[in-house]
Amino acid sequence: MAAPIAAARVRSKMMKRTLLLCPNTSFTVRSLNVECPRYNGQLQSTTVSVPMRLEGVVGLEIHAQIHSRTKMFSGSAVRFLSPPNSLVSFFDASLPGTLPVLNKRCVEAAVMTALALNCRINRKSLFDRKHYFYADLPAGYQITQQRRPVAVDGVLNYSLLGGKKGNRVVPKNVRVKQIQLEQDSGKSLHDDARGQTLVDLNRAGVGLMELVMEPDMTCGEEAAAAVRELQLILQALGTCQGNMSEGQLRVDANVSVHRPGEPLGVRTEVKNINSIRYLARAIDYEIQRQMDILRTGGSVHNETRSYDSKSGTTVPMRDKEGLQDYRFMPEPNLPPLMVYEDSASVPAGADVRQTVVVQSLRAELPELPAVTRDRLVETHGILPEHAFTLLNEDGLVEYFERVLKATGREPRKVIGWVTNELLALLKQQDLNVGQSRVSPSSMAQLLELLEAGSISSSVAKQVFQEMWRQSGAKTATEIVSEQDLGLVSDAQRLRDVCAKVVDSHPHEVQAFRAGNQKVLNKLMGSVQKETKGRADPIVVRKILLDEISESA
Amino acid sequence: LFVCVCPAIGWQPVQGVPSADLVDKLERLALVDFRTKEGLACLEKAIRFAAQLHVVDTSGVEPMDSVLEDRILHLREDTVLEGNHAEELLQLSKNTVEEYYVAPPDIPLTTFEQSCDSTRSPIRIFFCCPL
Repeated sequence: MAAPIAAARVRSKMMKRTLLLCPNTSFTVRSLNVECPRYNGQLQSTTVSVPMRLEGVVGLEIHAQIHSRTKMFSGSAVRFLSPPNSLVSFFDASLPGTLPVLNKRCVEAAVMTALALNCRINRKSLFDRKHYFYADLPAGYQITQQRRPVAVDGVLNYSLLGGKKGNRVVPKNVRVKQIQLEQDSGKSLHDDARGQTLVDLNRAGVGLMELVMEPDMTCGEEAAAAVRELQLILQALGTCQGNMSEGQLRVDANVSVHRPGEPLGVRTEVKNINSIRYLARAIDYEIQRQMDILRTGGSVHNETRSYDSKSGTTVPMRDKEGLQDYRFMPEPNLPPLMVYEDSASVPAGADVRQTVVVQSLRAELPELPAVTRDRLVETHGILPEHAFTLLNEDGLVEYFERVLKATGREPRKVIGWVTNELLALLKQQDLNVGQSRVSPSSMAQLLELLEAGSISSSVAKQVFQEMWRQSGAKTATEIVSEQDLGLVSDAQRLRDVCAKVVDSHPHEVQAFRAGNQKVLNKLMGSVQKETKGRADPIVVRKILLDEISESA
Repeated sequence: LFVCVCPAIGWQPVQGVPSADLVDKLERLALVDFRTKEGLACLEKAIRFAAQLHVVDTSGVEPMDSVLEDRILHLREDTVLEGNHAEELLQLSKNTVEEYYVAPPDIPLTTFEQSCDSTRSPIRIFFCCPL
């Protein structure tokens, strides 16, 4: 019982510690093991002791803001951070006499996303009104697609890094129930001091794609990895910029627990999650909270909870007065949306500018992350987990490929420098790849020195740290010559040092001759100490062996 | 009195006189005040009127939900044509603060039991029976 929970606790402590050091970095998923925490426990407060093996069930509802110049049903601009109510048309303000006019780009964005997620595109989809009263919804309803959305039945393929060292790529998938087009609402700012709400309609009417996922996931880690992969896909397609902190990608989690094989338990909805990191934490907290409730014989309430990042807990949101009835009705001002499979199915005489053809969009799809990873593995011969790490960090692929161009070194020898040395420093100082203090060409230069044998690999790491500290003010060559870090391969000098070491360590020499091979490392260590780590280890080893056999 | 509306959208059948709880819920959803005797009588009349729809057998017939089904949905190019009316739009509202609209505060809705007479509040409309 204790082991999986203990492992989860250790892991969460580790995550907390690393996250304290790097508060704003993007979430790289690593794990002690890919098994999500399961509770194996006994009911304590009742007379019947029944072993319960509870499992979490997570379904996600994702709202992705469509990356377009104008809003979904009006020609006002879509921009972040503009003066309040400056990007609002008469339709957005819901003035009488205005009508919605659908933006072609929004339809194309939804179709491209649907293709990337292997969905079935509905040839005909319909728009509906979803009614509720709120200050930031001036019309009193939201135009959405409740009856027939634009796409259904897809799958999102993602991976987790598992295994003991966190370097085994485990493929997973989650089914996409549907993708629908809908309007965003405005923003309300609550001024509690004066008891009023301020409303800015700049965001009202911006196009959203709502992606509904089936509850195929079992823990926060899986959800975080899935959302990360979705973010990469949307960014590659250009249909959504995917920035969670700016509200371009909003994720709500539906969480419940049950015993595997039994019907699903009561679920709660968790909102107010502003980053992938918080998503994992919020879900894991909620799963644990529900398991604790069931363990003590209580029952889970169907409610909406908000994630509080400061305490790392979920708290009940203001009561929504029971189940809402949205009084869905067809949107009377919009005819059905037709999306054609190929140019042959477009009716004769139709305006080409007015038609969305799936085949032509499919042909124009850019390279998706999964394909990029496979391409990197094949072209450069790196391992899948390296490709995974490269793509997980914005701009790291470009950095890696630029270094490769500038140096003749084998990719497999370069990848470690990019995914370990460079990435570690970036994470430590909370920088993104664009802010790296060492440029790809400088790193390439350093690697050339290493390849040429002018420095040892441990010295190379030192030099890299120094280059970082100097923020590129000095090149690798300059640092090496300044600090005299060049490999000493002067044979005579080395021979003198080796002879000295052999003479001053008679015991070790004897031991070696007696058959103890390992003692050679101690001798090498002494030589390195003498030469301040600048002796070429291969040459030193050879000379030492010569010296020892000579004096025998 | 029996009302059963489109099961596909998930509405529940309502039987008999609407309960106090249901009246509360309807008032909250519609933000319409009809707690008076006249209001309730009007509601019952409206429900009975609408129930006549179920006299017709519509099994196997697709509902017509739009008069535009033969029209082609016009798709607009993604170019900025509107916006920058902040001053004009804000003039429409009595209360504004620095280019923001001001929404009225959340007035807690009282339940049916708490108020027997109709209470007017700024955001509710008194329901007048048209039938």
